[in-house]
Amino acid sequence: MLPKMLHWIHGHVFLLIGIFTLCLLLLIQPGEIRTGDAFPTANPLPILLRILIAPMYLAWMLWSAAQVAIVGPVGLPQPWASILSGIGFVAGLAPYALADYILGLWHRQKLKRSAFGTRS
Amino acid sequence: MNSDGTCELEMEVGTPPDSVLPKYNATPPTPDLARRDTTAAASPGTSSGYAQGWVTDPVQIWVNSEQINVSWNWSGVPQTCASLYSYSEGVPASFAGWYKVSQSIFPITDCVYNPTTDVFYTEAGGGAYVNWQDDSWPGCSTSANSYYWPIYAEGDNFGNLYGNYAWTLTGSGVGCINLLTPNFQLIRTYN
Repeated sequence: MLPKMLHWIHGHVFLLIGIFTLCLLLLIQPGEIRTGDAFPTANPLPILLRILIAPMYLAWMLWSAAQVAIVGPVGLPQPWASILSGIGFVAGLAPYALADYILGLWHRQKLKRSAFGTRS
Repeated sequence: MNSDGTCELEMEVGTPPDSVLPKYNATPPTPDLARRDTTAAASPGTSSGYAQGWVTDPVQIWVNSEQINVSWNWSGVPQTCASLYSYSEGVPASFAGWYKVSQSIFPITDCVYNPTTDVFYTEAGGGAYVNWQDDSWPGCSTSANSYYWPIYAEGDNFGNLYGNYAWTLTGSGVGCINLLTPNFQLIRTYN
């Protein structure tokens, strides 16, 4: 069981980082209003989260842009709006999963090359 | 419905209590007009500068911004007033999806004499109340709003430049306005 789990973790490092980031974001108070002055203009997100969230944010932005392009800025009526919103939320993990896939592909090709190298 | 076939309508006149109004549509708080920054003056005459406020996303893209340019005449003599030469508002950059809902630009021309110190207290500049909105901001279940409430730049009779950006961000949802960061800078461009 444990080796299997470790193997899965090894193959999904970026996805785990994405899930961890999402959990951190959920821990921050959602807050409907923020207000302040020019000095100081504090960032609500800790620096680590600001870096980790960048791929997720870009995926969300692409999802929003695609939604606006297809259904328009007004959006769909309920419950479709909530369903789309939920899918968009999970779609934020796509860049991390993609990074895992590319890393896995590169790892397999490396193994393949080294295997051929051994035969010759 | 009355027995004679006519109708009567009962209406309550007044303002609904705050608790029943949606929070994201609430009026932004009263602006803080406290002076926040100064830059060194050069020599009496005309000086220029600008106050720039902008809101960035997690990858440092400017999603919306406002700039107030100001030029004012000043003498450095305590018993005289500074005068406003010109002021204007501009948008240095904005990102797709963000649009202006409202905008109100105003001049600042104050000159108040203080008999105790024998000095005129002067403000000459301009400012703006601007509301930017995005209806499909990532992580928001409502529209995201960014208020410049207000942003202003002004000079005094001793050549000092002041400015402030009183910001308000509204919108609900995980991430949403937490993905936005307000920024501000005050730049002297001439004298």
